[in-house]
Amino acid sequence: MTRLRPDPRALRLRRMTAGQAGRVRLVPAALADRAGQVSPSGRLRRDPRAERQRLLVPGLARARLVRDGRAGTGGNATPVQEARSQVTRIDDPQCLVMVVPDLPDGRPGRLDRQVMGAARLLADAWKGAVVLCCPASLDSAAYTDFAQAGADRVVPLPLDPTDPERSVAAIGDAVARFTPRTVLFGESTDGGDMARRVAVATGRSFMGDVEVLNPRNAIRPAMARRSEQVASTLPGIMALSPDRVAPYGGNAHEARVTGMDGDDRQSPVHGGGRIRVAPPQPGDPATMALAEAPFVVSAGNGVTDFDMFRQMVSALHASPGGSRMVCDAGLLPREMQVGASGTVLDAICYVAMGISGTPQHLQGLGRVEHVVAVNTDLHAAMVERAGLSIIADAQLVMPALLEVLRNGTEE
Amino acid sequence: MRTIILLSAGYDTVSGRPAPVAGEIGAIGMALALGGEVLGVHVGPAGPTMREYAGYGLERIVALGAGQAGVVEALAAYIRSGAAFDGAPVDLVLTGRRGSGGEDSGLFPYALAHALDWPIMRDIVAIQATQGVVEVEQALPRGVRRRAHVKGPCVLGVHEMAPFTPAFSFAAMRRGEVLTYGETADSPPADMAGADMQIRPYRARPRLIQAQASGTGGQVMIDPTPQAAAQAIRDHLVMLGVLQTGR
Ligand SMILES: Cc1cc2nc3c(=O)[nH]c(=O)nc-3n(C[C@H](O)[C@H](O)[C@H](O)COP(=O)(O)OP(=O)(O)OC[C@H]3O[C@@H](n4cnc5c(N)ncnc54)[C@H](O)[C@@H]3O)c2cc1C
Repeated sequence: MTRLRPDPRALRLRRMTAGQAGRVRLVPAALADRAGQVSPSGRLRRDPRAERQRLLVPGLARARLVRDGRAGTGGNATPVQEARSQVTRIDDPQCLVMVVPDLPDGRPGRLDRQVMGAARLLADAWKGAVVLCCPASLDSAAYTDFAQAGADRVVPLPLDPTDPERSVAAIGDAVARFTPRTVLFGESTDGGDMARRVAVATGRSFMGDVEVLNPRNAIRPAMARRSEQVASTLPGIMALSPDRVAPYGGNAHEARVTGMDGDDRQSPVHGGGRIRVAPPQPGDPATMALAEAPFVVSAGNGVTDFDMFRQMVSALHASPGGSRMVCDAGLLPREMQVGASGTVLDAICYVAMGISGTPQHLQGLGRVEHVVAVNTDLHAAMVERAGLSIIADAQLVMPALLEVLRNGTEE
Repeated sequence: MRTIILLSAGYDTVSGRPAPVAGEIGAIGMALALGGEVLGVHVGPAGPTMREYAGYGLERIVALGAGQAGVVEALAAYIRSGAAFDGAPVDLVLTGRRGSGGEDSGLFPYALAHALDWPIMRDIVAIQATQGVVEVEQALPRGVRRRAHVKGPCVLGVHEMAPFTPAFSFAAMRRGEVLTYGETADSPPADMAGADMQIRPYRARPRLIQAQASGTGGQVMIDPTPQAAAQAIRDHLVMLGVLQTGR
């Protein structure tokens, strides 16, 4: 490790400011770094605008400031949109950072963008470029997304969704061809699996569940989350936990398609043929655990007709849930309770029938993105949280909805 | 079916006391549901935690001494040697998703599969074994499931959602036997800290805060007719893609 040598004279010079009556004053050392922000009297000058910018949560329509020391979330804030029209090119990188995204539905997902953000951070610090590995069969819109997400090179590979071992061989070839300084995956079901497979296949050092990643170190929990491992030399392969690094928000990068040279590919794909994976099947919403369910319809105190509620839920192909009031009353089983003392959902969409939306209940909504509320009270908290609110009696809406759904199937 | 379950000396996340690892208990339940011969294997000294695993219905547990070899090599050699089931080959190795109390990287099953040159799958919630081929069901987020065929002996990681948690019984814990095998040279556990790896107490860090889709209120319909309300809800759900219209 090289350590910077302090130059005491330069430090002293930096601290000097003009005092009164032609005398020279020394500003306290702690303030010297912000010399420009120190007034002649030695007082620190605050920049309220910059401070506010640091506290701001990016991407919100309404400003939200986070003051509890969690600043930095806004630090990587998306720079102004106009700058994005230019394309950044890195022609002569000193090293490469490889990214293998999950690409749910062939597009970079939320975690993929965060992994790209981390890769960009490392590549910029090392004057390197980001190489993205993707399946060979992708449409051009995906390449535009890669450019926006900060990829300098895109390498189409013969990844096989039905055989992870073949994909490992393809990624292993790409790692051998480009010798990236580090390879980043997302710690998701498939990404984490692939990261570990590639790690044992290539023999590179591995670190999963990475919670902090910057050019200086990578940190992950260990020993039952009571300790953390801090790697000061970044491992050769890493899997990044979700929501730890902000996605890249700067200029688009080039996303130049780079092929593998013919002789680099080891012609008969080694390994493979032992695992055959079928396409994923959605689960049965009626029997699925509530924590996993993608679409939940819940009943609260405003629902009295539970037969109708059950019929409507099955017609919607949703998983049934309820508020604590309903579960306490024995109208629905306890496993269906949504909320702080029940289940925290991971759903995409939540329909609340006659639920007021107390904080204990809303905690259960976690990161549900879309909420629909049916309530007689316009001022209920659930109505505020919902993207579509119907201010009407749930007992009347339920049969009407059932009718609409049944008519829909006849058409 | 001859199944080996990899057991680790875990620690409880909350109390920090020695405790069995939840994922490995799930693996025991799955192996018992599969039937056949079952053996628990732990590489390292037989601590009190191993007895607790026995309480979940595991009758035999072997504490394997790694001797001079590495943990992965020692275990691979033991599995290949046939010593586990009196010379009969091992069909299946079941593991949890990751340990709890050591490095907890989840890499060990992969390293073992690599050393044995066996295929590996993780996040398994159901297993069906027929001659030479294992059919498994893999859990993905949001209740999505994926079937897969795996050839030959394999390593499988069990998912937390797998519905096979066996009950603990004190009698089973007393009954189960914990045997030792191989050189039990009490080598200290591999040191996780190295020249460029430092260990320090865990510090919880906040996750990124994401923008919520609709901050304050979206579309509100006040006192619509039930039909209009129902149509609006249906259209909204179709627009979000959660309601399939074709069915
Ligand atoms: C420690 C603790 C933990 C808790 N944990 C949970 C938890 O995990 N989950 C949970 O749900 N609760 C929990 N609660 C309870 C919570 O505080 C509320 O009491 C509960 O969520 C209220 O349920 P509700 O919205 O169904 O009932 P109410 O608050 O009674 O709301 C009924 C709503 O229905 C509307 N309504 C009435 N009639 C109709 C109609 N005909 N048509 C349409 N709408 C109508 C009303 O306007 C009202 O908004 C907890 C409480 C405590 C103290």
